[in-house]
Amino acid sequence: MPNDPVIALETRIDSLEQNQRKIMNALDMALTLADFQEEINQRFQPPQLFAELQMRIAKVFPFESYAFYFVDQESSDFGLAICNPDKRRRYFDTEFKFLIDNGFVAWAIREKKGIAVVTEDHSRHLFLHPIATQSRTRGLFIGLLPEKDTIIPEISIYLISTILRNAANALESTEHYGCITRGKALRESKNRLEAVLDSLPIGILTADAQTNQVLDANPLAMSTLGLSRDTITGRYLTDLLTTENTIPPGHQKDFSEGVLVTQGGATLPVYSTAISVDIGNRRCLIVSFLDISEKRKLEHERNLKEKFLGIIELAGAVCHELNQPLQVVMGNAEYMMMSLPPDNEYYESVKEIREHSDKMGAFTKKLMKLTQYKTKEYLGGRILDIDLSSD
Amino acid sequence: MPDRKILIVDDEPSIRKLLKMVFTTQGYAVSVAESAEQALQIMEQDAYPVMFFDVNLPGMNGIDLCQRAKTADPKAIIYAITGYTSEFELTRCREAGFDDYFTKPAAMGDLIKAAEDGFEKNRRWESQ
Repeated sequence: MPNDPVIALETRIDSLEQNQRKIMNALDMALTLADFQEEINQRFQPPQLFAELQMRIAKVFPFESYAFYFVDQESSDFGLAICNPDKRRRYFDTEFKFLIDNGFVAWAIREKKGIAVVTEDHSRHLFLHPIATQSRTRGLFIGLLPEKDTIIPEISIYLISTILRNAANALESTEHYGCITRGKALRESKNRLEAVLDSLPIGILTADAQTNQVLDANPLAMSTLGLSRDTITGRYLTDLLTTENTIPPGHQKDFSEGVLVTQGGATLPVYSTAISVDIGNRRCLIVSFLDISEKRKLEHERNLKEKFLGIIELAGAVCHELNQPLQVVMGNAEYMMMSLPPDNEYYESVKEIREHSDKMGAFTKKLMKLTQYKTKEYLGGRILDIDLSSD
Repeated sequence: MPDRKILIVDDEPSIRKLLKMVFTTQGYAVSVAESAEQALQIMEQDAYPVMFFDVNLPGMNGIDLCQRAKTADPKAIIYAITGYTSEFELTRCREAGFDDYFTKPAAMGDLIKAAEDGFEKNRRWESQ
């Protein structure tokens, strides 16, 4: 009963149910094909992502061949990145130029939509679609329709559009994650380097090689110089460290002695070294210095000690050799004084001998009591001060 | 006066001569030796209540000689006399048993006084 309204209604219901199933299937397919979350989670790299992208587009529409053009982030130019089959590169480059010249590329990018156009020779049909996020165009997809086809179903265009937009977002997410990871690694590396620089027992100054002005300093350099980060920045290296700082780029100056001038005007002997390096676009000098004032002080003390020991040895030898004859002279003078009456004509002379040998004896006794190295000026030079050096 | 015997030990002839002259004038019987070895031989022959030793002698030094002399006669008063002193040498002299220490050039008056004191001490020991 073809005109039976019940049968007609049942047929209509079947048709609607089939449509609903198709719609549900299409939605399900759209959700599956457009979902790149798993790839993002697995940190897919761009080549893996593009391989997945090609596979999904192929499920939506059987393009005879296709090409992906990507924007170079430095130059902003489009470049052919993927071509399938590879032998059609020249063909796609020719068609791409045609699409640009005729404003199709600009339209697709501006509208963020796909567009079907005829090839330059009007023999075939192409499908052009941007690969873009909401804020940035990453590239273009160009697909060559099979020879028999002149149009792509609306639903396929919608699905391809969704896949490409989500792929662009996935690409961006992956890159952002990479940036975050690299940023974290860089921060950790920076923190490690700062900790090393802060704990080094040497002062480090970084200066602009052209202007010779200080750009940065490590904590030891600042504390040694008595300057804060604010006050050290911009100071001329030559005002802080008197040593040879001008060296050819890429060269290094070995440790040499120099003098550091602190904020208070005090000078410190230092060993310093410098290296010329390029940091960013700036040629810099990295100058390191080691405070050797304590070493100098110890060296001075050691020299004094060695000198003093030498003096003690000399004094011992002098006393030993001098005191023997002195004993004879002094003793005999004393004996003569005991023997001669005070009014004897020689008495005073003998007394003189006795008194002066006494003085000499007092001098050699001082020599035997040297405990420190003290000098005094003598005829423009310096000699040992026996009085100050003995107890 | 056999009690007033002094032994002088010094390697310098002029000093031996001087000290012998001075102490002889003071009434002492003075013997001299130019080395520790010679002094030991002299001490074997006779006892000397007071002795003056140069510390720096060739061969056995004055410190070792003092130890030997004190061992032989603990009551003997022995004075060190030397051309150069140091803290270390002073300590060694004290440990060796020297009763006092004189640094050259020493005043003859001080040495005469030391000899008198030495004999006085010795006399007190003997009278106990």
